[in-house]
Amino acid sequence: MDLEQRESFCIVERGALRLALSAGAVRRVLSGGTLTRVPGAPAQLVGLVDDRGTALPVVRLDDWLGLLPRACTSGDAVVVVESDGLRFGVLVDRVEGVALLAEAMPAGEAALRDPPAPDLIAVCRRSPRGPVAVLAAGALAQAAVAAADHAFAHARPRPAPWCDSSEGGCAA
Amino acid sequence: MPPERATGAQVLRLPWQLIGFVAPLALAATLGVAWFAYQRADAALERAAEAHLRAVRSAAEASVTAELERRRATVRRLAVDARSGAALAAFAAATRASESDQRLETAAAAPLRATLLARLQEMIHPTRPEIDIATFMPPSRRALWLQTQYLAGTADSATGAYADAHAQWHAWLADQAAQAGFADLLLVRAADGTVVYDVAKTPIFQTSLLDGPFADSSLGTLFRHVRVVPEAGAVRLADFAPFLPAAGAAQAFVGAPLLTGEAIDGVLIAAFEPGALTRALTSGGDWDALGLGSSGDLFLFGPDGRLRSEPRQHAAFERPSASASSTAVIAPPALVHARPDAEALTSFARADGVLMTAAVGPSFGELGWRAVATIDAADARHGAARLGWQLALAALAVSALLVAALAAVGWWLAVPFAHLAAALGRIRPSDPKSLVPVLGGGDAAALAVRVNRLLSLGRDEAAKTRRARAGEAQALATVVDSWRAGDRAPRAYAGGELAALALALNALAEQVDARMPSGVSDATQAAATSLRAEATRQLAALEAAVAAAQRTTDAAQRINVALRAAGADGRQAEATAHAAASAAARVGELLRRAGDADTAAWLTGLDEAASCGAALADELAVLAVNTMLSVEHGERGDDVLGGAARDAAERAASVHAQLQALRGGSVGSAAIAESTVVAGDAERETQRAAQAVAQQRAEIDALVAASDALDGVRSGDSLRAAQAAASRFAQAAEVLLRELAVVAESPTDRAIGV
Repeated sequence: MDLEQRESFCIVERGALRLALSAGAVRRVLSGGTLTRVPGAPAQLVGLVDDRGTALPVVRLDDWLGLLPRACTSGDAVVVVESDGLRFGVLVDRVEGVALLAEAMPAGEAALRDPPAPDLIAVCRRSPRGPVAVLAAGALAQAAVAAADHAFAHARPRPAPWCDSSEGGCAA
Repeated sequence: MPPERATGAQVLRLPWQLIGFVAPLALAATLGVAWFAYQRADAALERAAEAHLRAVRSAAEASVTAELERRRATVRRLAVDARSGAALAAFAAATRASESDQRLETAAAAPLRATLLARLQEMIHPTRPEIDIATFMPPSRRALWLQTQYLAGTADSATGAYADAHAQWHAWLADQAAQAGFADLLLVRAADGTVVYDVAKTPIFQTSLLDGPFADSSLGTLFRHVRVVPEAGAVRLADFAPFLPAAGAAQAFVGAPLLTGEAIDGVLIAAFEPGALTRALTSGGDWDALGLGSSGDLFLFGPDGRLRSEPRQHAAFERPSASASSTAVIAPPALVHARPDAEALTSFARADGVLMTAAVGPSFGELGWRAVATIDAADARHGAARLGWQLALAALAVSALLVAALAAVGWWLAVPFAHLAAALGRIRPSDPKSLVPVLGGGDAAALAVRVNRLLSLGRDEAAKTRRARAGEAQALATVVDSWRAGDRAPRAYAGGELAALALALNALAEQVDARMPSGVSDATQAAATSLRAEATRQLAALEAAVAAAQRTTDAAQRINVALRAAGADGRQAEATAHAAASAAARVGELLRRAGDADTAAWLTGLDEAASCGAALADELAVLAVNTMLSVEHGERGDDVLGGAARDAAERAASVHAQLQALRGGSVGSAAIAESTVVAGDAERETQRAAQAVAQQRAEIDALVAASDALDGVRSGDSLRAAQAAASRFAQAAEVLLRELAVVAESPTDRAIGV
């Protein structure tokens, strides 16, 4: 394998999936911050978190990846992604590290089959610990913007399903 | 399919049942009543017809008697009338004077005889051609002359003594005869029986009833009887008989003496014909009023069996000859032979074959006549036959009305039953509230009430049965559930609905007990139970320990990975190693403190330490990733590391706070302060952390080995193997604690006051 073809990725875990984001698009990883719910936001936009004094919107990938939606917990980390001038956070269970990944896997061996939003999965790559689904940061940014636009265009306040409406928010 | 069809029952609706069973009976009863009424009516009509016949006959007899009496009274009145005696005397004197009339001498006897003979031939011969007319010629010249004058109507009859007397009395006598309805009126001289006067001027005129040509007739007989026993007011009758001077027609005579004092001068005799009696008999011929039908008749017959009146139906009687008068007709023998002393009802066949019913009266009057009323037997029964048909039609109509009424009543009665049947068809046994409707207050309502009561009882019984079965099943289940291995097999109560099942279970229990070893003591059982519970608890503790160790192993591996990832930059590695060392020290402390407690507390500590390690590993991973991302993005390492160190310090404080909360404050705030100090002095700890990294790797390897052993515990499922694995894990933990203690007692550690 040609090392020149390798690319550095930030590998994270969400549910049973191992996901990878291009290291160039990932700014940092936040943990322990307080997630503030946004009224009327779509299900994918779980709230806002403080990123060094800036309100950072945080999205959840569960609906797009076909995972069972899970409420946010205090141990969840937020990966700060920046793409096409848009900076947002991605809620993950755990960060695994930054690593170089090999070439793309054949379609039959993909880690994720028939995801609801296949545009978000750029490719699947091999890693020492198994296959990793590489998320397209740009598509992810567009999906987040589209979901937010759709939700706010059809403004219809509703509580976020993962939070108790009586609370102001939940810890991330 | 209707229920009645499903059960194979043939259903006949109540109205049809009523019609089918009652209608024939009603029809038969009605027809029977009609037949009985017809019989009674027939008999009554027959009796009525007989009574009517008798009444008509009696009325006719009375009319005849009255008519005879009227004629007798008339004759009696004329006989006592002085004018009658004067007329007799005048005619007698005239007759004597005629004997000395000069014209008798001069008149030629032969022409007179011829003229009179021709006249007598006309009057008598048509009916009795066999009779020699000459025998009826008067013997005397005086009689010949007078008969010629008054019978033949010669021209000189208007003069002379006799003509004078005739002119004087004829008008009166003729008027009396006409008024009384007599056919003739005679004045007969008693001395010689000469008929000195005859209103009708028959051949008997101027003949002697003692020795003349008609002396043997009924008229002569009557004269002689009256002449022999003259009695004032006495009137005698002579029965009808063919009378030759009247051209053979039947005439009856009524005679009474003409007396002068006690001496008889003559006899007044009146003649009448059957027509007069017939008119009296039949009320003037008004047959419709008599009610004898078109064939009925009324007539008289005498002791000789011959009729005395004109019958209505001449063709019905046998005549001796076509020219015979009605009085020559003989009545049917059945009538003639009927008892003369009482009224009789009989029947006879007429000459034309028609069967007649006749009421024959007894003899009445001095002549012994009998009155007869007849009616056609068919006419007499015609009313009964018509009544029979009318009754039959009425019976049919009544039967039809009765059947219709029965059908209506049956339909009306069947309505509640139809509703009841429909409701019964809709009832489901599973429905606890369904009832049949109670309609009206009749038998259907009573039946519906009883059905509802039966349904209620049935449901109560069903519910009771269900409860009993449920109770028995529950008792059986309780008995079975109470059975534990090693116990004596349970025995169930063998009764009720599930008796068969209980008996089978008891039989099974007998077999189980027979095969189970006996004598299992309660102590053994208790020991086995305790051992089983203890083993379960130990196994659960080991599972928890295995899980905690696994999580610790994972954390350690991830820490190792993070450290190796961060190893590219010396400052970053030192900072991360320092944080890892601090966390490991805390873990070791927790494990050491946990080891002082009992097994449960030790396991709890181990679990908490694993959680802490996992959280710390996550934080380290974040720190490492951020560090690598900083390098990836070309940021300044010192700034990144410093920020990461501060973040790590904050996260460590948070983790320890959570850990303290879990431990109930056993660790105390000192650990938090220590952690804070450690985080704050991250740079000073760098060197020490570098040394600790190597040791930690060894410790992690030991933990991994112990975890592997615990994996064997899971798969081996052996208490002994679990204990061995736990022992090895404890040893590994002890090694880890010892190494951590060495690290804690290093000069650097002391320098920072840990």
